[in-house]
Amino acid sequence: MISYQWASAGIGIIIAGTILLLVMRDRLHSRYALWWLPVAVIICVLGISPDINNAIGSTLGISYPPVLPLIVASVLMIVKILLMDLNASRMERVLQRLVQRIAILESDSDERRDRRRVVD
Amino acid sequence: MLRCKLPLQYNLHASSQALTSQSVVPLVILPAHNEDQTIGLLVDEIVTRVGWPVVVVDDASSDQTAAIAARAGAHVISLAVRLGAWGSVQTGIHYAGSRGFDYVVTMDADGQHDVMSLASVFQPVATGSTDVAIGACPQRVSGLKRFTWHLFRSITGLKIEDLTSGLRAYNRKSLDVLESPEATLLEYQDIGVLLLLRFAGCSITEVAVDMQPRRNGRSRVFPTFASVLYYVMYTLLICVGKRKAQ
Repeated sequence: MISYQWASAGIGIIIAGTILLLVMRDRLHSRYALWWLPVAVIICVLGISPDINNAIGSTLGISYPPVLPLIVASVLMIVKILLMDLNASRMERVLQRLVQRIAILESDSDERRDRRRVVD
Repeated sequence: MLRCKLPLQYNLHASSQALTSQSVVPLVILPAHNEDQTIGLLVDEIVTRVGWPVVVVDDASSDQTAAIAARAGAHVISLAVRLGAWGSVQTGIHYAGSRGFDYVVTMDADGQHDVMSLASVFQPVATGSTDVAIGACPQRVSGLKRFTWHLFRSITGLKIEDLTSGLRAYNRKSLDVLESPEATLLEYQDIGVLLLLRFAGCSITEVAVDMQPRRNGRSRVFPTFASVLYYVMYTLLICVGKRKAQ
């Protein structure tokens, strides 16, 4: 039977390895890897040494320390989703201005082409 | 034709006399999505009766709006994807800036606005007495909509009778505000735009104009109840989030 510590550590190593692979293949922007790599490291560390979690939980007055990673994970997910929406808003603004600029350039190009036809 | 009156304190420029000197010519912007039934006549009327240059921003129409507008004498800008009424107007504003226009008049392409109102709406902006003029006809809307406007006015402190009129005139000061990235993600051209202009210190005036019922059926902006609900929730959020103390 595989110890749960090895299972957690293994999951963390797989996640970290996957992230590194995605960065190396230019599939994941390095900026986002800065978020995911620490997450993978934390999973590995907690998996290998769950006593750290118990110590932190006891210090914070949590009666059932194993719930602490779940709470932290939930908060981090909310923060991550909010950051994604902020980024999506920024990209939407950029995209909209790009669409507007292209449309104006296309209309200018069409106008010049029509004028050349008239001259010819 | 709806004869429209504003309450006395807003009825500052009810005259319909045209006042356009040769050096003060605005660009008329018509945002249009699938308006091939009305756009040709409208552009032709503006070109022949008012004599101002017209740009039609074709908001990814699936009909012949762009071709008909071009034949009628408008310069047409066709968007590759649908950006909505405000995105289309902002495109026209960018174009106006690139062509050196210091004044812009916007109007709807569905035939609601009387072409001869353009001059009366533009007049206070041309003379420099205001930065933005809105062609207002609050009597055109239903009681429920007027109640909703009252709610928005109460929250924002905006003293505008006709909040959603698309018939507006802008000068360079207000156009600079509306070209900004901050104005890009607004979804509608009413409360958000007006609040942005107010925060930038632009003066806003209303001009009583006559309006006609929409020539071809239902609203393009609010075709379903769900879209109306979304608009109300979105606008309430804008009102609460972007209001500042007077």
